[in-house]
Amino acid sequence: MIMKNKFLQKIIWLSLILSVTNCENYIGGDTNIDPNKTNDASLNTLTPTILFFSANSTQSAASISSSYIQQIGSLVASGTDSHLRSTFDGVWVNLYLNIIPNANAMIKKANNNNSPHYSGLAKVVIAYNLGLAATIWENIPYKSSDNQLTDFSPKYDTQEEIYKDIQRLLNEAISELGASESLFKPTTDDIVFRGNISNWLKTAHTLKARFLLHTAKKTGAAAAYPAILDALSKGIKANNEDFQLVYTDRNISPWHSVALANNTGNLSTTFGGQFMNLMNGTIQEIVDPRVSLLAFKNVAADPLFKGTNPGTGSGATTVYNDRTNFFGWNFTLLAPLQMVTFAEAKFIEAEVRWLQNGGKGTPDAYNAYLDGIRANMTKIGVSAANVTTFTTHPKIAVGAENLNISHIISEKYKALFLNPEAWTDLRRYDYSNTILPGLTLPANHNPDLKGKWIQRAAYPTSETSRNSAVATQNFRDLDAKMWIFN
Amino acid sequence: MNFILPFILSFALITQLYGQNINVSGKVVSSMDDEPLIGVNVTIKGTSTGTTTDIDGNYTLTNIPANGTLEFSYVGFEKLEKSINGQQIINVSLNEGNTLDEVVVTSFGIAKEKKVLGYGSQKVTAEVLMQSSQQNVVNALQGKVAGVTINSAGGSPGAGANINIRGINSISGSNDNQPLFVVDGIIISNATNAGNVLPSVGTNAVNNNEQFMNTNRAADINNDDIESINILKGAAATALYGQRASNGAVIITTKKGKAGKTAINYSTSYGVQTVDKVPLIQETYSHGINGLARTGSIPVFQQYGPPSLPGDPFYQHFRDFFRQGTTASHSLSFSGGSEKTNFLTSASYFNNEGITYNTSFQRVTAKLSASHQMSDKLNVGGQINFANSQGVNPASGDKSIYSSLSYWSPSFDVNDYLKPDGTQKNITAGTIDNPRYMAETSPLNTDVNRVYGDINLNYKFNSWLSARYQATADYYNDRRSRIVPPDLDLGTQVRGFITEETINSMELNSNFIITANHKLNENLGLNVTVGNTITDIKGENLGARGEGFIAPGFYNILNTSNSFIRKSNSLRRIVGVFADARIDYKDYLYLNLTGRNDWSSTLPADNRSFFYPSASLSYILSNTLLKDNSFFSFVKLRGSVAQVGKDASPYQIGTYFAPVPGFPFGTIGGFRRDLDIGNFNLLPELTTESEVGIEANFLNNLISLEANYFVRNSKNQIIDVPISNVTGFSRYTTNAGLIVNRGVEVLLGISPLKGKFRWDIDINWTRIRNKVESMPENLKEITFYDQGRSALRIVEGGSMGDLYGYEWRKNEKGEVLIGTNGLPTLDQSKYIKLGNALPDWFGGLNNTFSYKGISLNILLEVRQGGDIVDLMEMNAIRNGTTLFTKDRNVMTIWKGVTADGKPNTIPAVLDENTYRAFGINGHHSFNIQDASWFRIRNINLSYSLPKSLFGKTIKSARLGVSANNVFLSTPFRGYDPEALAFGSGSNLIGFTGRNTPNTRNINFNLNIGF
Repeated sequence: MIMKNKFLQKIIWLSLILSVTNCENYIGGDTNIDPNKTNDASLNTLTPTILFFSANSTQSAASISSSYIQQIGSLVASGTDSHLRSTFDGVWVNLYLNIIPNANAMIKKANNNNSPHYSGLAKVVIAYNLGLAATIWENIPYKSSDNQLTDFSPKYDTQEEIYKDIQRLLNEAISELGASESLFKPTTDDIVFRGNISNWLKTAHTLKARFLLHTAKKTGAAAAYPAILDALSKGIKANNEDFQLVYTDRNISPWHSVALANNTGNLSTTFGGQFMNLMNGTIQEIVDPRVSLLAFKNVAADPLFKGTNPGTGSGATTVYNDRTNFFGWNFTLLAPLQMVTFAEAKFIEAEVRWLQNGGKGTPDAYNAYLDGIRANMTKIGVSAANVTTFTTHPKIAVGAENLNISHIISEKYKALFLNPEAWTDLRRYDYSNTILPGLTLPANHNPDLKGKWIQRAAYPTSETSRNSAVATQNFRDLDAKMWIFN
Repeated sequence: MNFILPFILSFALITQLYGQNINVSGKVVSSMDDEPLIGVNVTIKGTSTGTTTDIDGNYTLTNIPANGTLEFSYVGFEKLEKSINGQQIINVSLNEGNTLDEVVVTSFGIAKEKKVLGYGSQKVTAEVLMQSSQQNVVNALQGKVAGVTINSAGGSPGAGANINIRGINSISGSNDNQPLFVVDGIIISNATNAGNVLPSVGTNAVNNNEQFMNTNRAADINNDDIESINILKGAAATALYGQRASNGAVIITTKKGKAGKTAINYSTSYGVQTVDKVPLIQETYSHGINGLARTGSIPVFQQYGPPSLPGDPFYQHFRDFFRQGTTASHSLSFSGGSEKTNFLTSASYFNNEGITYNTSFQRVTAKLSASHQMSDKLNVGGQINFANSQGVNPASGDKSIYSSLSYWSPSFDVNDYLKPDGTQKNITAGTIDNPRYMAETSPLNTDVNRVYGDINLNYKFNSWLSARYQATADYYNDRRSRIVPPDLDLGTQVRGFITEETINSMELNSNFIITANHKLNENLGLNVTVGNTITDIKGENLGARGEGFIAPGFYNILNTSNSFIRKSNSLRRIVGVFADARIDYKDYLYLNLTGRNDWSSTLPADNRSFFYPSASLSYILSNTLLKDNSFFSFVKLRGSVAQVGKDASPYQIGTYFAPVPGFPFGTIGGFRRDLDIGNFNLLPELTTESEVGIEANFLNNLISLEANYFVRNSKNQIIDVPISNVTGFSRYTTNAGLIVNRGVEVLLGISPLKGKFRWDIDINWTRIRNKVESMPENLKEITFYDQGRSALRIVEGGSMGDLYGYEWRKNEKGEVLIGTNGLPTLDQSKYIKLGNALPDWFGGLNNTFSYKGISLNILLEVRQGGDIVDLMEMNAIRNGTTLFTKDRNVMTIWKGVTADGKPNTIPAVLDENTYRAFGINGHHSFNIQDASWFRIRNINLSYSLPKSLFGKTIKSARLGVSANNVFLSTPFRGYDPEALAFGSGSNLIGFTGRNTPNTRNINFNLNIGF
C-alpha cells in the first residue's frame, strides 16, 4: 500500500510540474491566431475589394441622391424624395472601412514591390470615392483616416483641402499608371478593366475633369476650363472605356436586387416624375426612345410612362421590372453600375465649351452635346434609326447657336440616370427649373428645409455618436450650400 | 405522534464513556404515510460506523456503544438524532423537508454542508423540478429560484430558454450572460448557436439570433436523470470555477445507483399543447383598403375595407393558425449495485410536435454511470451520456411565419394555403408569404449528436487527506439545413436558397484537487483544497449557402447556381490553479478564503496571468448567542466579498485580412482588412461582488427564511467598442465600462402542516437594479437593437434594458403640437428613453399539499414591471387587423396646442391613415407596452398508489397530471409577453411578437418503480 501511495504521489507531482512548464506552449504560440484569416493580403486580392465597394458606394449614394433629384421616387408619401434627412451610411462605411484602408495597404505594398500600376489604380479609386463623399457631406476626414488608432477622434478636412488631395492623388496616379515598369500588374483581379492600364489612365483624366468642373467656380474659370478640356482630351473616348462595374450572376447588381424586392411586399421605389416627364415627351415634346428600355408600364391603359409625383408616393404607371423576367436596362442581373462614363465626358465638354464661349453654343459644344446623347443611347441599346430620329428632332437638334445650358443639363440628367454626379450638377445650377425644366419641390417637403432645396447629407449616426465633438463642428443645415456651390 | 421532533438535540460534548456495547435494530418510516424508507443512513454519531435500511426499512447495528447517539439521514428528509440509552429497538419516523444539514454540491463536485457556506445558493430537488413537466431543464427552473430570470424564446418545440443569474452585466447585446452548466463535475455547453440562415440579399433581419428560436444546448439533458440542481449565484459561490462561472453556475447532480436490489424505474408522459394567449381581432371592418373591399384581381391584404356585414367570414387567424401540439416521453432506468460498486443506466425518448404546423423536437438520450471502490482508498468512477436532438424549427423574426401572420387578413382562412397544383395560395400575390405555406416549406432542420462524460479517481490517503482527479469531455455536432424556395419573399431576390451548416464543439477539462481536512485542536478545524484545472475549448462552424435553384422544385445545395462558403473556428485554453481554505471555529464560525490564478490563451502574453481572491464568513448565531432559543431554531449570518477575472474571446488581438463577404466576385477572390481590432494590451475583466445574507428558521422549523443582498460591479469589461469608422476600424476590443447590479433575494418557506397532511409554502422574491456607471470614452451610448420605431440602448447613467421611442413633436413648453390637419406629428429626430425591459421585481409562490399518496402543487408567478415592444402589433396595426384598430371614421380632437399656442380644437378623423401612414404605432405609448404579468405557472396533481395494491414486483407507482400556464393575466395586448424575440444566449431583451407564442400544456404522467 505504501508503494502504491508513493507511486500516486509521484504522478501527482509530475503532473503538477508538467502543467506548469508546458503552460507557455499550451496557451501561447499560435493558439490565439485565427486560422481562417491572414495577416497579409496580396495586391491582387485587395484590388477587387476596393473596386467592388466603389460600385457599391455609388449605388448606395444614388439610391438617395436620385430620389432627391426625382430620377426615382418613393412609393409611399413623405419618402426620401420629400428630401428627408439622410446620412448615406453605406458611402461612409465603404469609404473609411472598405476602400481607404485596403487601398492604402495596396499603395504601401506596391511601393515596396516596385509596382506603380497598382498604386496608381488604388489612388484613382481613392480619388473617385473622396469626390463622391465630398459632394455628399462637404467636409470629411481624409488626412486623419486609416490612422492606426493614433487618433480616436479623427479631424475633418475642409472640402477645399479634399479637392486638392483629389487632384494630387489623380496626378500621382497618372504618373504611376504611366510608368513603363511595374513588377506586379493588375489582370483579372481588376474587375473593372481587366488590367487595361490605358483605360485607368483615361479614367484618371476624366475624373480630373469632373472634379475640376466642381471647383471651377472657386479656382477661377480662366484656369479651370483649359485644364478640363486638356484632361478630357486624354480621357475616356468610347463607351467601352467607361469606368463601371459589370456584376456577375453570382454577385448580382444591387439595382437588380432593388427591382426584385418590388416583386414582393417590399415595394420601395420606382421612377421619379421629373425623370419620366423628360423621357415621355411631356417636357421635350418627343418621347425619348430610351424610355421603353429603362421602364415597364404597370398600368397598361395609361398611354404615358409616368413616374411618381415626388413626395406623394403616387402617380407612377411604371416599374423597374414587369414581375416576370423583364427588367429595365439598369435593373438587369448583369447591369453595369456606371461611375464615370464617356457620355458624362462629352457633357462636361459641351458644358465647358459653352461656358468658355461666354454662355453661348459653339459647334464643338453642340457636337459634344449630341455625342453625349448618342453615347448613352447606343450604350443602352437604342437602335441607330431611333437615335437619329431623336437627335434630329427640332427640340433636341437645336443647333449650335441655340444650344443652352438647359439642353446640356437636361440630357446629362437623363444620361446620368442613377449616377450621384447628377445631384452635383443640379446643385451647381441651384436646382434651377429654367435649366432643368419641370423641376419643382416635392410634396410633403421636409419642413426642416423651410422650402429650400436639399444641399447635403447629415453625418452618419455612427460618426456623430463615436466622434461627436469633431463631427459636431462640421454640422451645417441641410439647406446650407457647400463650399463648391457658393 | 411525534411528528415534530426537536431538530438538534445537542451539540454539547458527549462525555465519552467506555461502557458496554449492545446490538440495536429498528425500522425507519416516513412520517407522512408510514411507508418504510429504504436506504436511510443510520450512523453512530462521531464515527463512521453505520449501515443503511433495507427494503422494508429495517436496520441492525451490532456491537455499538449503549450510550451513543444514532443519526438517521435520508435525502429529502430532516435529519434525526436519537440517543441509544441502552435501548435495543429504536423505531423512528422521519419528516420530509429541507434540512439544515443539507449538503450542497459546489465547484468541482465538492460537497459542502450548506450551514457553513458564507454565500447564497439554492437547491432544487428532482421532485420540484419534475412538477413542471418541462423537458428543457432551464424552463423547469422557472419561478422556483430567487435571483434567476428565465425567458424562453417561445412555444416552439425545443425553443431556447435563457437563464440569467443576478442581472445582465455586459455592455454588449451579443454577450452571453448565462451561467456555467455542470453535470456531475462535467462542464457542459449551454450555448445557443444562431448559425447562418440568411441569404446574401433580401432581408432586414439584424442578425441570425431572431431567426429560429434555436435550442439552448442544456436541453440535451434528460431531466429524469437529475437528482438535484444547486444554483450557485454569486462570485463567492463560484470562486473556484472562476471565470467560467462569472455569471453563476448551475450545478446538476444526477441520480446514482444504490447498493441493494437493482431498481428499475419507468416513467412516461403524454401531453397536449395549445397557444396560451393570442391578440384580439376587430370584426367591425372587412378586408380592403380605403374603405373599398378587395376585388379578386387586386392583391390587397389589409383590413381597411367597408364595414363588415352580418355573415362575413372572420377567421381567428391568430388562434386558428396554430394546431394542438403534443408531447410524449418515455424514460427507463436501471440502477443498483453492491457495497463496492454501483451503476445507473438510463435511456429516454421525448417527442414534441409543436403548435405551429411542421415543427417538432425529438430527443433520445442514453446514459451509463458507475463507480467502484477498488480498495479502501481508491474509488474509480465515470459516466457517459449520449444525446441526439432533432429539431424542425419554424422561421421567426423578419420575413418569417410570424411576421406574415401579423399582417394576415382575418377575412381569409390562413390555413387554405395550397393551390390544386401544390403551389402557394397567397391572397397577397407575394407581398407577404402565406404563413402556413412558409411553415410547411421552410423550417430549419437540426440534428445534434452529443456525447459527454468523465472519468474520475478518488484517492483517500488517510482520514484527513484525499485527492481527486477528473477528466471530462463534452462534444457535440450540430448539422443544420434550411430551404427557402424562390416563391417565398425571403428567397425572391436570390431565386431561392438553401443553407447547410455543421457546428462542432468540444470542451475538455482536466481537474485535479487535493483536500485536507484536519481538526487542529478542540476548537479549530481546517479544511483546505488545492487544485489545478486545464481547459481546452474548440469550436468550428462550417457553412455553405447555395443560392438560385436551377432545376425547379429540387431543393438541394448541388442544384444551386451560386454557392457561398463560410468557416469559423475558435480555440480557447485556460490553465488555472486554485486554493480554498476554510477555518472552522467551534461549530459556529466559518471563514473561507479562496484564490485562483488563471493563464488564458486569449489574452496578450503580458496580461495572460491573473489572480482573483474571495473571502466569506458564516456565523451561526443559534449555536452561540441564540442557543436553545425556543423561537429561533437556526440563525446564521453571512457575508462575502469575491472577485472574478475573465478572459477575452479567442482571436481578438491582431490585425487580419479576411475574405470579403459575398466574394468571390464571379471567380475573383477578394480580401479586406478586418473591421475589428483588439487592444494589444487587453486586460482581463474584473467582477467584484459583495454579498450579505441571513438564514433563519423559526418555531421548530415551521418557517425558514433566507435573504441575500448583493452588489455586483463588472468593470474593465472586454467589449467591442464601436469607434469612428474614419480610424479604419469600426470596433475596438478593449477594456471599458462599469456596470453595477444590486439586488435582494428572499426565500421564505412555511410548513403550516407536517406529518400525514402536509402543506408547504415556498416563496421566492427578487428585485434587481441595474446601473451603467461608466461607458467607454467617446461612446456614451450603445444601441443593442434598433427596430426603427423603438430601440434597446444603453447610455451612461442608464440601465440595461432601457427602451427608447418617439414622442410627438412638442413646443418649447413641452405641449404637443397639433398641425392644421388636427393631427400631432411624430418627432423622429431623436429617440427618448420611454421604458425599461427589466422587471421591477419578480417572484414565485409554490404551494404543495400532500396527504397520504396524494400531492397537489400550485406554482404562482409574478413579474411586475418591465416593458416590451410588440413587433406583431406594429404590423397588425398597419393592416388594421387587431382590435386596437377598431375605432374608425370617428372624429377626435387630439390633445395639444396649435402653432399659435392655443388648445387644439381642430377635429381629425380617426381612420386608416391614422393607423397606417400617420404611424400611430410609431408613438411610444402604443408600441412600448407594460409587460407585467401574473400567471399560474403550473398545477400538478399526483397520486402515489399505495403499495398494498401491488405485489412484489412493483415497488411504487405514481400517476400525475400537470398543467402549465393555466392562467395568465397581463395588460399586454399581444401574445404572452414572456417569449422574447431574440431567443437565448443574447442580451437583446424587450421585444416580442415575431416568434412562436407561448403554450399552455397539460401533461399526464405515470411513474413505476420495480
